[in-house]
Amino acid sequence: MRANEQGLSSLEFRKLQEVPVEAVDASGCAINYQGLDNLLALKELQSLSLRRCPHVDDWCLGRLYQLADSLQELSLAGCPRISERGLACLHHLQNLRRLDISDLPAVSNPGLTQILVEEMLPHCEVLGADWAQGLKVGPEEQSRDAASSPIPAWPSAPPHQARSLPGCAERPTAHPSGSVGLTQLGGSGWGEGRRA
Amino acid sequence: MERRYWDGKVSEIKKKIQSIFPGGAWNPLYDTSHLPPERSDVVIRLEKQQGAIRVLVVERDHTYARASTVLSVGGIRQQFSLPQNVQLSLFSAEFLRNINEYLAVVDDPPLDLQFNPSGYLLLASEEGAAIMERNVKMQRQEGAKVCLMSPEQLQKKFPWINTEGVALASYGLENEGWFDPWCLLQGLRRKLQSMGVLFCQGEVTRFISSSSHMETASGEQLTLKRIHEVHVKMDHSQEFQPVECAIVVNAAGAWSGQIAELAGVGNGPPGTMQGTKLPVEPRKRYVYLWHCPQGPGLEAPLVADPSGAYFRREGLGNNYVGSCSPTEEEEPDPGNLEVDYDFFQEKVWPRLAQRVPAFETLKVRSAWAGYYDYNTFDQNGVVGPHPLVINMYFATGFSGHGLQQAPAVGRAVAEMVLEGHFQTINLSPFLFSRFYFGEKAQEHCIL
Repeated sequence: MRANEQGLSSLEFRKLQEVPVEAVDASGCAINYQGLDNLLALKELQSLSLRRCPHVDDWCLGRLYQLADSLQELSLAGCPRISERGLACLHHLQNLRRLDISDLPAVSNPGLTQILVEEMLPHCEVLGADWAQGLKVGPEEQSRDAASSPIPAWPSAPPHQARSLPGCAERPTAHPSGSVGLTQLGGSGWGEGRRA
Repeated sequence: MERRYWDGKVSEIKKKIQSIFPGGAWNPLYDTSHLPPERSDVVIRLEKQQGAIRVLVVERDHTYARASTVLSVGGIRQQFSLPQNVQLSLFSAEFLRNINEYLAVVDDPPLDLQFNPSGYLLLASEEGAAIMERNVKMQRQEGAKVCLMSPEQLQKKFPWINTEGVALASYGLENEGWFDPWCLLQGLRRKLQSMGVLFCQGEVTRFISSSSHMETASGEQLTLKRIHEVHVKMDHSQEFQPVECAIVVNAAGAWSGQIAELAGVGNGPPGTMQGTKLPVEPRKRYVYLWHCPQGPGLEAPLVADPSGAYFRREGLGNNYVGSCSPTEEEEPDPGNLEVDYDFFQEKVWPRLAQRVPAFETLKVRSAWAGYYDYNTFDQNGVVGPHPLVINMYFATGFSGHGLQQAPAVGRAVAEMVLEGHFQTINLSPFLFSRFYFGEKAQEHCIL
C-alpha cells in the first residue's frame, strides 16, 4: 500500500497523521473484508484503486457505502471475485465520477452489466467491457485491430470517444446472447399484462 | 423390485450403521441439525468407548423436490422485531460470507452462493412507523447495519417507488440480500459427508421409547420419555431399519408436527405439558417470476410493502420474483403445491403496481409454491429439547425465515446437545415449553 507521498522517514510520517488521506492505491494488495476497516475510516477519501485485489469480493463492495460522501474515483479492474451482484451496491456512491469495472472475469455479462451500472450511476463515467467482445471483426478491419491496445487506459477523453475502438463505430445495442429479459418472450399463454 | 436386492440394500445400510468409521475431530459447529428446515430427521448415536459421535441424517426425499429450502426466495435480513432473530441472522451472514472456510472439502471446488448484497427495504405506513423506529433502534444495538429513511429520502434514492402512504422506511446496508439456497444445501451435505455423517433415504415411521415416572418437588407427577430406537422405512418397501440412537433432532420442516406426534408429543390431557402439541404446520406460499422491461434497476433491494407484498430482482434481464403472504382467511390448501395464478392477479399484482408504477406492465413467466414450517403460536423458531421427551431436540417452526437462520440455529442445537445450554445466542425464549406456559416470542416482521 503506497501513500500519495514518497520516501518518507518515520519522523516526517508522524507529522502527517493530521493530513487527511485523499487517495489510496491498493492495487494487487491482499486486502480482505476485515482489512477494509482501515480504508473505510478515511472519511475524506476521494480516489481508491482496488485493481487486481484477489480477496475483494461482492461482500466487500457491500461495505463501500461508507465512503459515499467523499469518493469520486474507484477502480475495481481485474478483481477476480467481483460479480455484477456486488456492483449493484455501488449505487450508494452518488459522488462517484469515474468507475473502472473492466476485466472482471466473474461478471457473467459484461456488456449488459455496464449498461445497468451506467443507468444506476448517471453522473459517473464507467469504464468497462471491451466493446468488441462478442462482435465479429470483418477481414478488412483485422489489420487495424491489431494496433489497438487491449488494456483500457483511465479515460482522459469524453466517454463516447474513450470507448470507441477500431472496427466498432457505434456502441452496440444491448442484445447479448442468452440474456433472458431482452430477447423476445415466447408466448407462454398466461397473459401479457396491462393493468386496467 | 427383487427381494434379494432389497435384502442386500437393507443389510448394506445395517453394516454402514454398525461399522466403526473414523471418528475424527468432533466439531460442534458442524452438527447436521443445521441443515435448513426440510423433510429430514437427524439421529445421533453416542459411542462412549471411541469418544466419537456417529450421525445419521434421514431424508424422505433426497431430491428435495418439496423441501422448503430449495423453493425459498433465498433472502437474508437482520430486520426483525426480536433481538434473538437479529443475532441469529447476523451470525448466519458471517457464516455465508466465509462459507468456503467453514465448509471446505479437500479437492472440491469452492462454493459460489451467488450472494446479492442489495439489502432489504421495509416500508411502513403511518400506523407502523413508531414500531419500525423501535425495531431499527434495537437492530442497530445488536450490530445490524440498518438505516431509517423518510419518504423524501426514499423517493430520491429509489425514484421508481410511489411513496404514497409510506411514512417511514428501513433499509439494510450490509449483510442483507439474497443467495442461492441450493448451493448452501449442497455445500452442507458435501461437507457433512466428508466428515463421515451418514445420509439415508427413508421415512421415520416410529419411535421406540422408554418412560420413567417422576415426581417434581411440588408433588406433580411427570412422565419422562427417552427415545431409544427409530424405525426408518425404506422407499418402495415395507421393510424398515431400526436405528438405535441417543438423541433425535427434529428438523423436519413443514412436517415436524407429524414427527413430534410420532414421538408422543401432545399425547396427553389438554392443558398439561404432556398434552401440548408442537404447533408447527405446513403453510403453502406462492412465488411468482415476472418480466418487466421498465422495472427497477440494478440498485433495487428486496422491497416489502406495508401490505405484505414483496419483490426482488432476479438476474440481469429485468426479471423479478415476489409474492405476498395470504391472510388467515385466504390460506390455501397445503395438500399440494399447485400454483394459484388468480392469487397473483387479485392480491399480489395490484399491491406491487401501486407501490412500483412500472409494474403496471409486466408478464408472468413462471411460478412455484413451497411450504413455510409455520409456527401457529408466535411465528418463530422452536429450538432446544422437549421438556418431557428429553432426548428430542427441535430445530423447526421458522415460518419463512428458517433458511437465513439455519447456520446459527445449527450451532445453537449443537451447544445444547454438547453443553446442555445455549452459549453464544440465548434462545431460551424459543424453547418448546413456551407453548405450555403461553409465553409468546412473537416475531412481527414476517414476510
